[in-house]
Amino acid sequence: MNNQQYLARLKKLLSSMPHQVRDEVLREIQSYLNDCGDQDMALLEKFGPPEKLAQQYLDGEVVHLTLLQKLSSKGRLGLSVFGAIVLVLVLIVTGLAYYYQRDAFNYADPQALAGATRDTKWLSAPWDGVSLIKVSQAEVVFYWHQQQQVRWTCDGNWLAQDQLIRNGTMVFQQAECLVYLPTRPARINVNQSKVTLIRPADHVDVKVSQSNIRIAQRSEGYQYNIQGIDNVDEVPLSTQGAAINIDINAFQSSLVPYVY
Amino acid sequence: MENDLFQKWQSQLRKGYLELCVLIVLRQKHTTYGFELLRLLNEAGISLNEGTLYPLLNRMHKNGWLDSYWIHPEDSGHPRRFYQLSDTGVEQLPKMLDAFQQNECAVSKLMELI
Repeated sequence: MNNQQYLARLKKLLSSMPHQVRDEVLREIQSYLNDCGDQDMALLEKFGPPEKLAQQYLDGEVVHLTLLQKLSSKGRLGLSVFGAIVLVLVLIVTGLAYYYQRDAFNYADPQALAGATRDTKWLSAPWDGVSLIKVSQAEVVFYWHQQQQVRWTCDGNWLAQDQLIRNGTMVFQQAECLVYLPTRPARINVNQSKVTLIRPADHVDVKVSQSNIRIAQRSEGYQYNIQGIDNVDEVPLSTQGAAINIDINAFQSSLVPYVY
Repeated sequence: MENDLFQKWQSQLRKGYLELCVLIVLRQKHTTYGFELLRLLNEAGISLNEGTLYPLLNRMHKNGWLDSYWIHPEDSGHPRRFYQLSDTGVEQLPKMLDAFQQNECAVSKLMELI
């Protein structure tokens, strides 16, 4: 090890010192070399191994360590504790995110729905006047019932019947709604929304843009005609002989089975 | 093993002793630099190498017992770090000397008892 290598090594070993102090230490050793008048004199011989010299300098020094160095200095225990804390935080955040993204109750369970909406105010309108349902920036869950009316309840942007249905189009916008449709074919256009279809009882023609569609299946299955969704692995495949068609034309959207 | 323990004991004993010696030299010389200080201490019979003295000076400076400053000669000479007693050092030195001398006396008395 020549003197330059020695000084470089010492500089590295003293990296935890305040840099001004460290630089002064190195300058002083360089000055010592000049005083000797022999630049070839080996520092290693006079000052001993740089590790030992650094230890002497650092003895009693207020060491400025990075967080990682502090953890390393406490060994594996410190790193393990740090890792465990990070893991617990990640689990808490993930759990909270899952909890808040989860549905308020199981929409596919009629009893859960009935219990949750017992005191809810419902509105209804004749279905014959509706040819299209538009869902825009909203969260809507669709059910099918045996009645001839469309029935709904909403939170958020609450609209009366005459405001909600105009010129044969029913619009759910910026609201969270539960909707019962009669057992008749329905056309639904969905834009930037989250829509859940609970066991459709008749033909549904859905156009979807930048939205999330969830479907709870009937045991009899459906005949699907899906366009515009690349990954259909999780989508329920068509059931042979199924009587009900579900047509979906999607753009930048996801389609998944409904799972509570 | 015994040799290691002795060296450890000697190291503990020397630490304060060497600091006292440095303070004494600086009181006599007023100001000097590491290389010269080492020479003076060695001439006085104190066995001390560079790897011990320079970290010691750094620590004493950090303790506030010494002041230091760099002198950059106008001629071809190189810069040197000079040390001198700080006000704290001037104040501490007599107390250290008293403590050291008391310890010496105590050892002497103990030796007489034996």
